[in-house]
Amino acid sequence: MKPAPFNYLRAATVDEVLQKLQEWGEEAKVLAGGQSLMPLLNMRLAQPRYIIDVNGLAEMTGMNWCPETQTLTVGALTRHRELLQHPLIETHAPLLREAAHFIGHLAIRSRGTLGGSIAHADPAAELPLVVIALGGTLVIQSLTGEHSIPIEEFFLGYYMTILKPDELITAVKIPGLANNTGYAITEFARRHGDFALASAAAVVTVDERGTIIKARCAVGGVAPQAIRCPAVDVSLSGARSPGDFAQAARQLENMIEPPDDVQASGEYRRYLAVELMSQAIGVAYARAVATKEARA
Amino acid sequence: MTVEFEVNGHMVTIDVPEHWLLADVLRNQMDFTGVHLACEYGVCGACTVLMDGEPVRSCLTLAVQAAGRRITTVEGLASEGQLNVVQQAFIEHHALQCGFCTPGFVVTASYLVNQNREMTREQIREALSGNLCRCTGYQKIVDAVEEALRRHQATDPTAEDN
Ligand SMILES: Cc1cc2nc3c(=O)[nH]c(=O)nc-3n(C[C@H](O)[C@H](O)[C@H](O)COP(=O)(O)OP(=O)(O)OC[C@H]3O[C@@H](n4cnc5c(N)ncnc54)[C@H](O)[C@@H]3O)c2cc1C
Ligand code: FES
Ligand code: FES
Repeated sequence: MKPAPFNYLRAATVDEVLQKLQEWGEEAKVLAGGQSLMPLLNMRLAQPRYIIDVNGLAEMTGMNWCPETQTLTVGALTRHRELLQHPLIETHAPLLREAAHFIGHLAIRSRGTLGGSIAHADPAAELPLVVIALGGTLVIQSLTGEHSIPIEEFFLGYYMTILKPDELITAVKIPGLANNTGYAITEFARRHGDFALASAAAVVTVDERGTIIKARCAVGGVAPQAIRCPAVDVSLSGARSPGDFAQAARQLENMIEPPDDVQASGEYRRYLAVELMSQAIGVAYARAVATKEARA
Repeated sequence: MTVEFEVNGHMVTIDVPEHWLLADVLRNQMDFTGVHLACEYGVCGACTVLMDGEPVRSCLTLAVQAAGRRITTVEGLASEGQLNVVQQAFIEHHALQCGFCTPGFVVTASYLVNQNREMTREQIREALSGNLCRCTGYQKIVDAVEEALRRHQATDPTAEDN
């Protein structure tokens, strides 16, 4: 199908976007990469009166690393393809690169953006999942000012977030990896590029003896939103063997209640989530130990 | 809204309703009917064109978003009657049957060739995963793209294996 008619504005500055969002409110939609919004417009599941195209906004592109705060700030308009190629991502947030590799296909990654993926809030999307595991924060602007919130406070459920109609995500801040820290994302999809049936991400830190002292885990596709797994994190404290990892991952069994749907039964998704989590922890652990040994 | 952009090497100026898709404008206003439309939600890849050299879904792009950009459709790949290396390889490897999916595959594969990278068969399959074909079973398409990449590397002195 084709989109219903709307008025199109090619915004030139973030300020202009914020003013229009304030003025038009719920009647306006921000257009970033369009890889989720355009299908909704084509199917007429969304019929906004105004489309505000933010693609030209230099203020929302690019990234920079701040050595004092050890934080990587990534513009909301950063394309999935840039996540695969940018040297700052490679150095400071390689988990974002690994996540982007799983997203859709070449032509989707040319256009889709980090901010768009987060704002769209698909429970199976990879980027929200890894930003949660990395402990990232979102920079949100409106005419009344700018504020930052931890990403895990952003999602409210299937395609729902706390973002107000007059607000815009302008950047995502990712803390650099601490010493002796490893990371991983694992997922299962029936075909490459499909949304995952389940996915898991882990970021773990080991001490000098190779024992886990800190972990941040998250799962996707098995709840109305990507979620942190504090019970897994806690039970990983002191872990160092695949048996320990599997046991910690089993904490998920009581945490999630995925529904049956056309793609898979809830029970199967739960089984996948536990297995994928165990694998993600294993890979993250091996990388943490490897960076420790490289430093020694 | 009046927009100006380049299509297959020619500048065009066109007045289009703001909600029209690039795919429809290329097909219906400009007669580039090689831009095929099937799913209209980004899944099948038949509508893939190059925008400033990068593959994009023309069904997920507004025509007004092409302003100032360089668009290449399957019609723009041959030069002076000479098929490009991908098109030639598709013929030789029988990489099409009904042909509906072909423009999307050829455009995507031409991007891969322009990238000048050596790719394994597995990497080629991944890169083509966004294009669906209901006829061929894909093997011959992958054969053709493998061959096109090989020939391009053999003839292009700037090709590097990274
Ligand atoms: C065939 C296909 C396969 C895909 N496969 C995957 C996959 O495997 N994994 C995956 O994660 N994704 C997948 N996607 C989705 C893709 O990653 C999208 O790019 C992403 O979900 C949305 O990003 P976008 O920039 O395209 O946003 P848009 O489509 O432009 O916008 C999406 C929503 O976010 C809002 N928005 C966008 N930017 C901002 C901002 N800065 N501030 C506030 N609101 C904003 C828009 O108003 C809209 O409501 C796929 C898409 C397609 C078409
Ligand atoms: S018609 Fe555009 S991807 Fe199917
Ligand atoms: S040749 Fe018929 S769909 Fe591919």
